[in-house]
Amino acid sequence: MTLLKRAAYFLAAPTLCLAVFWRVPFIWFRIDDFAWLSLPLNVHDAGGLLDALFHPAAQGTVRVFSERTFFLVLTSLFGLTSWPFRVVALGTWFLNLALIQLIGTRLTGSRAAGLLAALLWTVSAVVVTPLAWASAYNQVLCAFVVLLAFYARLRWLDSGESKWRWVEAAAFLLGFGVLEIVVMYPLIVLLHAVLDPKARARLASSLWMFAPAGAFALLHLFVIPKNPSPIYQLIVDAQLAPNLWHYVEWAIGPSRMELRNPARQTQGLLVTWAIAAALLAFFVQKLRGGDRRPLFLGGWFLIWMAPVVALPNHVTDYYLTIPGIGLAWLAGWALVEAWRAGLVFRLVSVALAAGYFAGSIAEVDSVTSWMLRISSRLRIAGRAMETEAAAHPGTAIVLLGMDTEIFLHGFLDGLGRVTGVENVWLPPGADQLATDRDLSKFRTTPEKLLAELDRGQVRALDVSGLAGRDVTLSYHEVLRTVFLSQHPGFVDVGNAAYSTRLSDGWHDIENGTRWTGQTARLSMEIPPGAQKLRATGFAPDSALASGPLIVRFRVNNMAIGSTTLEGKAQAFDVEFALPKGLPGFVAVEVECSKTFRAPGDARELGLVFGTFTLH
Amino acid sequence: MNTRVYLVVGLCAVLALGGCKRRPSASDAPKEEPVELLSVLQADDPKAAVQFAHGFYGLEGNNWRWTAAKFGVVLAPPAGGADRGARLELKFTIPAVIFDRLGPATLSVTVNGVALSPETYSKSGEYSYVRDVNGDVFAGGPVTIEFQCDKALPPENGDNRELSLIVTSIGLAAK
Repeated sequence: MTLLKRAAYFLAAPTLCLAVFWRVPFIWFRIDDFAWLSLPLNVHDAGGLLDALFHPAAQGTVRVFSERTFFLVLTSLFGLTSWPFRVVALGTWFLNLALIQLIGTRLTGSRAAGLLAALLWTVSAVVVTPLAWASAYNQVLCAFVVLLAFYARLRWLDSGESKWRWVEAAAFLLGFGVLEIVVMYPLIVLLHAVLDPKARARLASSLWMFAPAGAFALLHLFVIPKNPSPIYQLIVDAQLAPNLWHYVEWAIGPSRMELRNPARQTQGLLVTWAIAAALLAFFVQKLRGGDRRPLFLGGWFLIWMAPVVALPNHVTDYYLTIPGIGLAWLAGWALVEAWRAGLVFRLVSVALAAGYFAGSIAEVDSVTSWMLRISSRLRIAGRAMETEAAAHPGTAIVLLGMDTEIFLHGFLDGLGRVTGVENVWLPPGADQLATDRDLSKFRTTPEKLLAELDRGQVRALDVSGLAGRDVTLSYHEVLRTVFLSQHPGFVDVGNAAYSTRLSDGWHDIENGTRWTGQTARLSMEIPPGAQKLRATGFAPDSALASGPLIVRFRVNNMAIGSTTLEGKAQAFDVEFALPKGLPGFVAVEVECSKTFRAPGDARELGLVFGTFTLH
Repeated sequence: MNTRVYLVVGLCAVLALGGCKRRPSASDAPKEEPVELLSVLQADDPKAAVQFAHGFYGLEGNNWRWTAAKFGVVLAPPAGGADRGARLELKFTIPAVIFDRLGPATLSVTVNGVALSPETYSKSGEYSYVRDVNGDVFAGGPVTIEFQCDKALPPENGDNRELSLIVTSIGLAAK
C-alpha cells in the first residue's frame, strides 16, 4: 500500500468513530466517576498515594493503571474538566481499531475484513459507555493490552523475532493493573495454539502465562475483600444461556432500538436475528469446509465473556467491549466472503450491513444524547458548586431544581465532595427524590437549615436552568415563610427562625432567649380557635433587684393583662384571654414597668422572654 | 527533526497548556440574587422555581410541571392584598391517564393554614381553581399555600414520582 492508502486504511475507522460519537468529547462525568475523581483528595503523603493506588476498592478491584493512575493523573492536571478523559479514551480506542484491523487481517487473510471488523465494532452502541464514561475506561485500556499482546504473538509466530515475545509479555503483565479479565488471555493463547498448527508448535514457551494468571485469579478470589453486594455475585445456573444470548444480541445487531424509538424495537430485533442467522450460516459453512478459524473467533467471544456471563445481576453492555471484537472479525470476514460469492450473497450482506450500521448509529445517537443531557445538568450543578465553594469556603449547599435522574447520577457518588462542598442538602419537603435509596445524608430539617441560613453557612443554588443561580436570599425568605406557616400561633423569640415576627424592642439572642427593652413588640398569626396568649420567660435577680417588676401585655393595642414578678430570680409562665374578633395577624406588645443597665453593658434591659403562644 | 518528533512535541505542548489547571475562582460564582418573591408563578419561569416549595417535579414540555398529591408554594401578596384580599388561581390539568384509572378528584387548599372551600372534578381536562382569600392572612407578608389532591398514581414502572396534577401556573391577583 502507498502511504496515502495506508493512512486512509487506518484513519477510516477512527473517522467513522468520531462522526458517530461526536458528542463524546462534550460528555461530562457521571456516577462512579465522582468517587474516582475524589482520589487526589485522599493523597496527602506517600502512604496516601500507595493507598490510592493499591487499596482494593469498588467490587474488590485494584486497577492501578486503568482507574487509579488514570484518574489521579488527569484529575491532578485538569480538575473537573472532562475532555482530557475523553481524548485519552478515544486515543486508546483508535489504537484498538488499528490493532483490530491488523489482527483481523492476519486471522482472515483479508485487509478488507480487518477494516470492516473495525468499522463494524466502532459503531456499536456497546462501546458508548467505555468511550463516554471515564469509569469504564478500563474496558478500552484492557482491550488495548490484550489486542497488543495478541498482535505481538501473531508477529512472533510469523517472524520468530523475540522482541515480539517481550511485547506480548509486557502487555499481558500490564493487564493485571488494568482489568481482572486479563487472566483469560492464556486461554486465548491456548485456543489459538489448539487451532493453529504453527502456534501449537510454540505453545510450550507460552505456558508460563498461566502462572501469573492463576496466581492473580486466586488472589482476587480468596484474598482481596469483595463487595458483598449481590450485584457482583457469581451464579452458575440455568440463567447462563439466556444471559449469553442477551449479550450476543447486543453485540451483533441493533437489538435495543427501543432506546431510540419503541416502535422500532421489533425492526431492530429482526435485523439482529437475521445477522445472527447469517453469521451462524457462515460459521457452519467454514467449518464444513475444514476451516477452523471461526472456532477461534467464536472462542474469543466465549472466553472473554466467561468471567462476566455468570453475573446475572450485573448484565451490562460494556462487558462486550473485548469479547465482541471476535464477532466483529467474524462479521467482517463474512462480509468479504459474501461479496465474493455472487450477487445474491452480496445483496444480502450489504442489506444486513446497512441494517446494522443504521440501527447501531441510531442507538449510539440516543445513548450519547442521553448521556450528554444528564452530564450537562451535572456539570452545571458541579461548576456552580465549585465556584460557590471558592467564594464561600466551608458553607453547605442546598440544591433547588434537582430532579431524581440527575441527582442519582451525581450526588450519591460524591459530586459534592469533588467540588469542595462537604454538605449538600436537598430542600426539606423536596427531598423524597428516590424511595429505594438512602438519602439521609442529603436531608436536613427546616429548623436546622434556617439556623444555618441565618448564620450564613448555607448557599442556595437553583440548578434547574442552563447555569447555576444563587438564590440564597429568596430561598431563605421562602423557607422562613413555610416554617412560620407550619408553626402558626407560636413565636420562639430565642430562635432566629422567628426573627421576622419580631418588631422593635428586642435585643440579640442569648442562650436561646432575648432581653427586651422597656417595651417590645411582635406579630403573631392566630390559629383557628385560639382564645389565649401564653408567654414564658425568665426574670433574673438583676431585673428584680430594685423591687417588683410589672409586665403588661397588649394585643392590637388592647390591654389583655399583666403580671408582677418580685423576689428571687424566677421563671414565669403566664396566660391571658384574648379579645374576641381578632383578625388573622395580631400585634403583641409587652411593657416592663422598669428597666436597668448591667455594669459594662449600655443596653436598657427589661425582661428575658422565651416563647409566645396563641392557643 | 522528523514529522513524528514534531507531532510528539506538539501533543505535549497541548497537554501542558491544558494541564495548567484553572482553579475555580470566587469571581466565577453565581451572583447572589436579591429577594424577589412573586405573586404569580408560571411553571416555566426560572425566577419562580425557588417558590415551588414542595411537591413539584421538573419542568416538562417547556411550560408545565407534574405535582405529587400534596404540593405547596410560597407567594408574595399582591399589591393591596392585606387590605382588600386577593384572588387565588391555580391553572392545572387532570390528565386522562390519572382520571381514567382513579376517577373524580377533589382538590383541597389552605392559605397559611386557613382552609378554602374544596372542589371536586368529575372528568379529565384543564381547570382553574379560583377562590377569594381574605386580606388578614397577608398581614405577615408572603404566604404558604398548600394543595392536596385526593388522587395520585404511586411511583411505578421505574418512575420514582407520585403523580397527581399537571400545573401551569399558580397566582394571587389583586382584587
